Amino acid sequence: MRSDLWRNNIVLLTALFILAPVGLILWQSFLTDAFFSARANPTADTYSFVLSDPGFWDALQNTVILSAGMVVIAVPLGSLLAFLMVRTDMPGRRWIEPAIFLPLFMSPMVLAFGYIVSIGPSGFWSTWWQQTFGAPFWNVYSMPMLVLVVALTHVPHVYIYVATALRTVPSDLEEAARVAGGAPLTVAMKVTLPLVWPSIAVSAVLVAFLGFELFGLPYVLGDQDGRLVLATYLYKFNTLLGRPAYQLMAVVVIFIMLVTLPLVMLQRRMLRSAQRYSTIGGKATRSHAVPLGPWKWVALAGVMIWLYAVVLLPLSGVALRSFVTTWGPLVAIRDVLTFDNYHKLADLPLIRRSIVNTLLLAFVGGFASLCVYALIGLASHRSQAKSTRVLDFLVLLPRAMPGIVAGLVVFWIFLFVPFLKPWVASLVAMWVAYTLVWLPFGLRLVSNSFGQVGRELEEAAYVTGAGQARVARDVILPLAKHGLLAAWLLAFLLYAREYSTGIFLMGQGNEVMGTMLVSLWNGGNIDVASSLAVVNTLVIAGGIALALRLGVRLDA
Amino acid sequence: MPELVVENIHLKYGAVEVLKGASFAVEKGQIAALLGPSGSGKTTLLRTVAGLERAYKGRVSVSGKEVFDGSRNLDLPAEKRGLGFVFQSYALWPNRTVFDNVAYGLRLRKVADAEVRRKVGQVLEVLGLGHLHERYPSQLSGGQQQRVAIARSLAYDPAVLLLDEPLSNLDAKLRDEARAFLKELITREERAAVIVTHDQIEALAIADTIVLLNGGVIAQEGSPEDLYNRPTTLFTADFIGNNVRLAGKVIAAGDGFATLDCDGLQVTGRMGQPVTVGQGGTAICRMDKLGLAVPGERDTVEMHRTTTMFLGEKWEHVYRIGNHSLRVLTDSAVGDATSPIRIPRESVWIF
Ligand SMILES: Nc1ncnc2c1ncn2[C@@H]1O[C@H](COP(=O)(O)OP(=O)(O)O)[C@@H](O)[C@H]1O
Ligand SMILES: [Mg+2]
Repeated sequence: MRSDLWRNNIVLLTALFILAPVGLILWQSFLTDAFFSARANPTADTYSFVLSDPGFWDALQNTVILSAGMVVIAVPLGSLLAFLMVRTDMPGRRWIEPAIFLPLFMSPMVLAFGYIVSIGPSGFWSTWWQQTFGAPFWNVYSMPMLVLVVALTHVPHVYIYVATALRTVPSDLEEAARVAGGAPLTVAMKVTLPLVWPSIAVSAVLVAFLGFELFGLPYVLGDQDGRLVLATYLYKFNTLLGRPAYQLMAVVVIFIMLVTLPLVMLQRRMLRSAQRYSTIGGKATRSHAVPLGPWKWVALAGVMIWLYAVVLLPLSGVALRSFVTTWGPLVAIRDVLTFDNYHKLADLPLIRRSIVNTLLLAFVGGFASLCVYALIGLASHRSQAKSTRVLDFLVLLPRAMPGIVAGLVVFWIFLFVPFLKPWVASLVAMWVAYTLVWLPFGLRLVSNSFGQVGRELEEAAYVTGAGQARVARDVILPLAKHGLLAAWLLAFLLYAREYSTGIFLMGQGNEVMGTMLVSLWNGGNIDVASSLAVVNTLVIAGGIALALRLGVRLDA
Repeated sequence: MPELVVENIHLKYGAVEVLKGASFAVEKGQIAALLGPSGSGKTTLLRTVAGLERAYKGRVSVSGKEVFDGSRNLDLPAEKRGLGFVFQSYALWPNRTVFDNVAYGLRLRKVADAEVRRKVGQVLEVLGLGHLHERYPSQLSGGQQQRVAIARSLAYDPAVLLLDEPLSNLDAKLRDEARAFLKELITREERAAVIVTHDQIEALAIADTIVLLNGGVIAQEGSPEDLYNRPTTLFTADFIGNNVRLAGKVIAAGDGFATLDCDGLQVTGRMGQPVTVGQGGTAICRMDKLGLAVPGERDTVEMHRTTTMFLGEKWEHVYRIGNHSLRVLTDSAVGDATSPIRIPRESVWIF
């Protein structure tokens, strides 16, 4: 009989990796003090404390507004964008496609900076507007602006789901309706829309869920007025009371996960039925574009305005800001032009280290995480065992955990476990947190590429005399090579961008660009923050370019 | 002792019992064909023998060694059974050359490099693939891929070779050649082979024994002549050969023969199992044995010709009586509208 022992052991370890953090949060939420403190006693008062704090309700309200605003704005726009890109003859689709992915992988911290230096008070665009038309009508720190920004930057998330679904809708369905006399728009609404409805619904749940995870954008754009969302409310407790109030943070985490976990479960459920729905349509067919006529220029203009708002506007601001020493209404550009901000990147050891660390963590750490995911993926590959089905469900937990929370818990675990304690402020702790945060996503990528390997190719190796390890080494891994490479590249992009996961783990020596950006912002050091943001964006753009060259699908 | 013994295999997929007690045995140098309609469990049975599916009851032994015994909870994994398996899809590893595909089993067994080269070269030579060592599977034709798959399963000298519909992906002409080649190869190499097929012609041609499977149980096992000439079940009689099936009432029985009255058409045939006068029965008539008779001959029925088609070598006619129609082949054109049709009792089975 084939031994399933190793499979069960790996599943067990993974379960531990997932459940230990969740258990620790739960436990901490019922204590009066930090769990490692001698004064910690069991209590449920922390819950009532948080529930009676008006700040919590404000944060919750803001989060719900943001989340709802994202759904209301991003879902229709993302679906429309997908329709224009996949189904119509809108010009410029070839080069718009990669541009759509940029906001997806760009650091929200960079975006937030960009908005501040572009359209914030005394930003480049605001100054220009003021000189040309008078006082600007917008306030970058206002709530409507925040809603607009987070909604527009999440359009690509919707786009990915809907575009994928649209590609499987056979275009002859549309053509039949058109021949029968339907105008293009009527056909889109009556024929195409109902077919991709499940995918639109899935993306709506996803976006609502992402709304509860938001950290960077509300932190930079909302904090000045003291407008908090749940994640920034949580972050406040780190410093608010003089020393970190872990028990309060744990309670807030529990409340966040009480919302995100059901959303994640709902999404998984809907995704399954949506997939069942879409396979009826069968393979992707060659689709004939719906002619938009003169409207195609209107559509293109709309897409360009959106791209301008989410890519060009913030990026131009950051880029410009990185080349000047200061900026304001009365400053002439040639007086302040400088390369100093880039020299500082190399000169300041802290900053230099953060760049090296980021590259190390993204490249080597990304690969190490991939190896972990691959091992777990192999353990559940074609396994009928109950333990692997449990795992399938357990990975929903880290999925429901915002990055900042995962970083916090990994920090706690490193504090708590004696032999891990020396590593608490090291890159290792950072890597563990990143690996936990991206476990569900990475595991899905890896399992998908293993699933592509024909079952009989594996069985042929078994009957020829290969054991499980040999089959993995000789058949599964080589044949899944391309998928694994793609997963590594995606891990690189995500790790290079990541900023919130490392916030609590940052100490001497393990700075990464993302967390560095947060602390530079906290310290008001906009000069260096801008140049670092440019470097971060360049690294990510390089990764995207490489991915596109290698034919890696970024919408995995 | 047979090289492969399969006893009383029971297997379920979920709640559905797919194999309900299948048994057969194959001697060295012999070919057994697992024959049956699609969905009868042939592939499942073969995979169970190989250790790729798990039965909950039964026994399998290879070269006298038990590899599976449901009652003792013994279930050697596929890699420890030392069998050769040819998949219907061939399952060649696309990232390895022909040589590396075939050499894999030997390398797993830690055979020295020089010996691997010699052995693989020899096997590929035998299969007529000597010039294709460095090709990748995608660069081969279907027939070549099939032979690489066979070479791969032969290279490490397994005593038992299992082949799942190895010829079904080849076009008709190639299939006839490959069938003869396969039979000769297995006999010469002295393996015990099990070939799964849904094609009775193929099974009749290639096998020393046919194991006829129906809904997870064995309908009949025996030599091709046995199955063709001495079917013991209605299913066997009907499945083998090209037949006309007639339902009616027994009006005479005795001497190993029975006569059935099917709405005015009377047929006499061998009793596949004892029947008594008055009960209902089914007659299976081999179509190719029907012919035109001269008036007064035994086992004839007077029928009316409705259609005639010229097929090149032969003429095909459709003859009718009542609700029954029979297709009859002749060597030359027929002028009469009504003729006696011979349904010879040696080629009819009554169940
Ligand atoms: N993995 C499976 N799960 C459930 N049922 C299966 C599976 N594989 C085969 N079956 C069922 O078992 C029966 C026998 O299948 P199979 O052995 O492939 O038949 P054959 O090879 O004779 O066509 C079929 O009814 C089939 O639907
Ligand atoms: Mg089959």
